[in-house]
Amino acid sequence: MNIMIYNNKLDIIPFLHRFFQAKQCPILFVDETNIHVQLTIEMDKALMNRPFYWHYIAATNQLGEPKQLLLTTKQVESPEKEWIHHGSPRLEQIYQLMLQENNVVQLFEIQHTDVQTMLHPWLLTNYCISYQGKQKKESFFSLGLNLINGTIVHNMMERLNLISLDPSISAYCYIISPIIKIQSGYKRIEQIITEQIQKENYNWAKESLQYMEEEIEMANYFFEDKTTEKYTKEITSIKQRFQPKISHDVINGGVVYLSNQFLQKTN
Amino acid sequence: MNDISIYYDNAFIPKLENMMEHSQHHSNWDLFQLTYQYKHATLVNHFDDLQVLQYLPEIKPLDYQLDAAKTVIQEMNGRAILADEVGLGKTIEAGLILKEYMIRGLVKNALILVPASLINQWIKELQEKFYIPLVNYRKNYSWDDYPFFIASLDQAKRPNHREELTNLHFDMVIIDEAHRLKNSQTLNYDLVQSLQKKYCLLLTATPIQNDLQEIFNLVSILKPGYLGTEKSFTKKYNNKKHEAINNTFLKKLIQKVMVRNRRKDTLLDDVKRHVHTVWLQFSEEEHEVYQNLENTFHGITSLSKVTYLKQLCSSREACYLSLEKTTNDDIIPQQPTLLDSIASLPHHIKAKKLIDMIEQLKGEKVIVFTEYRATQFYLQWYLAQYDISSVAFKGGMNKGRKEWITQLFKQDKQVLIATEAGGEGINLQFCHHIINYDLPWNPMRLEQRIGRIHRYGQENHIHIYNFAIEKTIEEHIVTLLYDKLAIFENVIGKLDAILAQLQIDSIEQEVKHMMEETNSLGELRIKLNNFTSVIDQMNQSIGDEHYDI
Repeated sequence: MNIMIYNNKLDIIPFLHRFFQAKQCPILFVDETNIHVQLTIEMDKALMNRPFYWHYIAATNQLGEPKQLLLTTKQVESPEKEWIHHGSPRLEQIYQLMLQENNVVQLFEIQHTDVQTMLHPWLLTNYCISYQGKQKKESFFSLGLNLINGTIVHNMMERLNLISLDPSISAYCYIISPIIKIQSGYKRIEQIITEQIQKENYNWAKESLQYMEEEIEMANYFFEDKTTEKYTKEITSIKQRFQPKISHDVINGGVVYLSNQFLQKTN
Repeated sequence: MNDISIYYDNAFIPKLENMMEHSQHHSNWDLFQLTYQYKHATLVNHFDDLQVLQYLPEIKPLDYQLDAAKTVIQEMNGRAILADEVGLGKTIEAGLILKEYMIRGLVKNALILVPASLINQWIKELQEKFYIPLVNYRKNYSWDDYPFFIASLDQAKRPNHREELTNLHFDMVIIDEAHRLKNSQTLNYDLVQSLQKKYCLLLTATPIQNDLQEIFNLVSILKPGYLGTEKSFTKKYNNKKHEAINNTFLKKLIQKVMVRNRRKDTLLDDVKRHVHTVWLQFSEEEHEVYQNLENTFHGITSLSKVTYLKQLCSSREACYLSLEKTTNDDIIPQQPTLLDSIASLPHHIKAKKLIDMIEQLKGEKVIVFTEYRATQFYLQWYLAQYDISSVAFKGGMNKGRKEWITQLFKQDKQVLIATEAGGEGINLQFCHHIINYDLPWNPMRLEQRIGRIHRYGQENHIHIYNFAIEKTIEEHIVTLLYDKLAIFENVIGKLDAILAQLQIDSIEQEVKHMMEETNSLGELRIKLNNFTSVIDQMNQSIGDEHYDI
């Protein structure tokens, strides 16, 4: 089973639309290539990089006027519009902001019901592995682990996208407390990923190690005096450049409470 | 594999538990999904493919530039000499490499060292094209806020800065005009060697491979020991230090750390340049004023003399406007007479010729280059009198404006009148006629002009027409400098190398000095002759064989 997730192109305008809506910024205009939003004070501070203005406003006890943003995916020559595209710093800025503020969640499956309904706690992790040798690549996994019975589900986000979730629990619903501790659940996920990695081939690391050894050998030959700072720095740099590394990184995750029908519904 | 270092994420669970304990319900499913979506879209799935182009919609690198970036990243592991000939886009290659490493998270900070005069150009290029927030290094610099910065070598090597910089850890160090590091006994060299750097790019257009010692020094920055120690290297390859590389094995070794594209390797070589010098004669009135101007300055060591004469060869307007502003006490008494005589001149002989030529081109597009804004204004007006449509390009226009003008020219104007080459990224290859209305004294500038149309996508042979007026300063420039150096036959890369070896920064300055210090035409001819024959000699001694590594 292929559990790895592959690249998906970002649809920029819908992405921004949803982002600004979630951030409670009034959308003044939107079409396929443009979006015009009124920022809130909070978002102005987060995105517009004008701390002196807000400092001044606070100091003089004024209300302050947050800016508007006019973003377009079409390259134009107009100072009022900001061109936004796959590599534009604005997108990266928004991503960083979301990473800081919203990378852990607690959510409940929305149930429209008038009978008592039990919700199971699941641990959700969107998990990124980076392999770094002389080059670097990443793999991305979305795993869910049922904290009652230990069931593991791959592509968890894709499944969750099919149901509705909310920060507060629906009427008539109740949750049961985890039998598996979050900590242990996470260890289990880590273990699954590690097993997966161990099955892979390591040519990238071998190759990188070989380069590292060669370069260290050359440097040893070149620097007759091994006590100099130049020598130490060179060796450090070589290691930084070639030492193979695998890093585990949870991009975001949380605990979601889901009904018994979840797996069936999203299959 | 035991040799792999493994890092786990230890921050996630405490953060999650903390959130749940304090029931801080800031959970927003929309934002959570968006974060996931973004990561999804920016994931780097492969070790090998370059990701960078998806992030830089504005850049359309040429094949050889892309190949250079790939070679440096994939085969040279991020430490290399980029030694393309002038004008082939080393900065683009460096930008692609740096950005690719940034996208992959391998470079989080960088130091760029360039000559002071290139700082702003680098900042502009990396910011506008590559979206790399490069800033100028200054005192009390905040490393954390601005991890990508640029400084001049001279600034960086001052003791206080040197100390600061050598204590930092750089993921990438880029050095432009790296032939300044050819001598290992200099402060420049010592500084760069002392920097802690993971990846390193050395940019130079000078074919350093002409000198064993130089190449040894540069390679030893990138890969110390690769060519052995200085002692073993000298012993193995040659006892004489400054000798060109003849050893095939050594050449092969060097090719593994150096990328060098030459104009003749790029497809551009199929396009031929046809150069025509268009000789003109001043009308009697014009000649009289020219003589008058020259006599007025005779004996006065004025820095502007040459400039006024040059301007008069371009247009009445250029000369008038600049003479009007003179503050030279020796000139001021004669100024009104001179100005009057200039003002009463008829239309410039070159302007008339220009109309003839444009009419002969029968609607084909042409770019007219002039050194002076005043001439540019005049020509736009003059062309309009003959119903010839034109647009103007001038220095200081922003990129968007230049693109707009380029569009106008492409779509419905016949003539583009430019005072500068238009800068990188402005491509005019839909046009294949250039008229050099006046000639710059710096052949590099000329090369930049021609380079705007002599590039990928040019499907026609290029015609370059140089206007020059007989019995004036222009005649000297053409016959003594341009013809001698065979400037137009594509030797710029080589000329560059020769000038570097002669330690001449700019031909323009050199020639200007010669002109200013010389009072008679005969003397000037001798000086220019000496100058060009030295260059010619070097040219022959360097030869093509050693140049081709």
